[in-house]
Amino acid sequence: MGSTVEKKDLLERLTEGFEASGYSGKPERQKAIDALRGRGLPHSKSEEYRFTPVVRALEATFEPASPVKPEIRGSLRLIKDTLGSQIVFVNGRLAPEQTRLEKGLTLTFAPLPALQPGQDPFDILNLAFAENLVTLNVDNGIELRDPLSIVHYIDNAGFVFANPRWTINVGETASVTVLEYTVFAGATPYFNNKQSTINAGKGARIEFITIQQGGREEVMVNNAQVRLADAAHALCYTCTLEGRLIRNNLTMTLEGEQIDAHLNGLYLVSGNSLVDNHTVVDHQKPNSFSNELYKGVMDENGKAVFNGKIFVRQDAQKTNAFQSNRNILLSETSNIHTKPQLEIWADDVKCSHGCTTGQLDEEALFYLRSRGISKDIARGLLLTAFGSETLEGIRHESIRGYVESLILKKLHPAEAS
Amino acid sequence: MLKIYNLHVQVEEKPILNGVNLTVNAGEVHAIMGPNGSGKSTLAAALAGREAYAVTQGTVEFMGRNLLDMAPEERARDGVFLAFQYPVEIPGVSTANFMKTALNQIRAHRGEPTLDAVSFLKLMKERMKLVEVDQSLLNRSLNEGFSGGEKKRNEIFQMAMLEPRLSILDETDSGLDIDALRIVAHGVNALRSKNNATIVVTHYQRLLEYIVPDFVHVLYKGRIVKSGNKDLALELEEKGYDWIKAGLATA
Repeated sequence: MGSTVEKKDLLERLTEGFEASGYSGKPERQKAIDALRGRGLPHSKSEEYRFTPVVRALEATFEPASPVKPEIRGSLRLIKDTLGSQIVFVNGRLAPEQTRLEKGLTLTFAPLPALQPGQDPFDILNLAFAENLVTLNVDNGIELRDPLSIVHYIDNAGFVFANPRWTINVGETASVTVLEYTVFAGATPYFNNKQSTINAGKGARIEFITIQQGGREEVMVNNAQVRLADAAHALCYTCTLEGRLIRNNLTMTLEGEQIDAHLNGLYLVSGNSLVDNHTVVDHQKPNSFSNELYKGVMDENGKAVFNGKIFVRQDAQKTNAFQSNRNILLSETSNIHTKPQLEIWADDVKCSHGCTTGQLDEEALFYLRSRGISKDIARGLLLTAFGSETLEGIRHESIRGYVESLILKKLHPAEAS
Repeated sequence: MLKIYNLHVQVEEKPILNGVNLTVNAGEVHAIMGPNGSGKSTLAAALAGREAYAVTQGTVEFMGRNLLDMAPEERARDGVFLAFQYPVEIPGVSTANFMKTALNQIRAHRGEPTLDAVSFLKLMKERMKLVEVDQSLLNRSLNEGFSGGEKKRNEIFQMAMLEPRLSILDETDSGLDIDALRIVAHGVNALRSKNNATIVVTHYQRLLEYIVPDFVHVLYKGRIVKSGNKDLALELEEKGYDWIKAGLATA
């Protein structure tokens, strides 16, 4: 019993580690920490994190950080020929000198929001440690030609615990593509506990593209909220290619009418990685459309979770909401837990969901081989075709091309050179 | 070219072929006929190397090599082509990309250089004409949403692209209307030469009016029970398969 008393819990260790790297706690944040102390971080019995042992992964990798002054080395650009605005977080904190904004975009620091009931525990954790809420306002009618990059730059020589928090308010009829990714220049495990919100105004058009390839040592909880007003058009694309444990909580709230919402995701999971996508599509008003397509390919000991909730509230008559989750398991030791959840209170709606899990289609494989194509190349062709379907609808050719090359590299190495 | 000796094949431990003997020489067209369930498609699949078809006895020699030792792609590269009865739909892979990958792998095997984009396109256009394949099909996903006739024409188009030594047409006539049948047959005939051979697997005599065989074999209960020239097909059309079955029963 003595040993359990002496052993500090993860929250304490995270707090100490964070303070050691120069953090000075503010009294109001104590509320968040107290709230977490009351309920604790999720463990294996917590329904929402049943398959996703974030705390265990952190306990296994956590080491107290030795304070390092991070330095930016190399390029922060993901895609060469786009030169748009960028917001850069270095180890979770905004780096103003790296941040560049076009006309029509203004950056402010908003006070941290109050705690909400039912808030995700990692969102509360973020509130406790986030430096501030980085808020970007996009003026009405602005159309950004290039993607706006949100870069998480991680430089570490010890465990880094990053808590970036950002909100983008997209003005009416404005059009923005947000491209979020991590550049990992460190060497050791880190925990990126991110929280983000996009509020899309009336008639706004947003694309929110997340590309996750932050190294094998990454533990990430990615809390993302997207709120849509009348006639907004939104496409969220979440592509996960690497990481020790990645948990995406994407909540899309359709607060208006005549909204067109798309959620696409692709997870290619190998090694000992675990990728968990929890999505919520919440139809609150009538006459909107949502379509969700998540696909996964799991190999080696890769594990994945998909949990897709769709809510259609009583007001949301004439809703069309569709969901599909398709998975391919390439090894005996890979697995997927998939669970659709539809909760419908309105009576005049069209909703459907479906999920499939299987191996690579043997018939298709034989067909390709019977034309002289080797087994490896045939496999690569089929898998890249399977994965690339999720890219449909992305407007920027350069992003599509870039992700396609990543898919090719991972699933079809023979053709990627 | 092809020597099949005493071939026994099982599918899921059920014997389907029970000792097939067949020799096909360059320049010949052989028709394999027979009632449903006689093993025609099994023979075609076993020759192409489909994994679920287990060869339990017998040998198959193709161009002097042991065909049964070869993976499906090696068979294809050496010149075996199976036109599928049910071509597979492959979403996300265009016919053009598929054909380019296949042709270049076969060319590499033959020691020929990779075709550049212009030459490939030129070749493709020329071969498309042969079976009246519409250009729009090439950029669509392979066979996805194609009509029955389009799928079968696409098979013959692929055959024209890959120029096999031995083509096996597995019930290529099934589901075709008379116009599509003529187009497909025209394509097959145009590709015939003294250097290649064709095996036509069919239930009906109809296709053989257009692709005239040198030999007709009747497969029944997993064996070739009767062989003859093209007149045998006409006789079968007239008398039905019961005539063969009855002959065997009394023999």
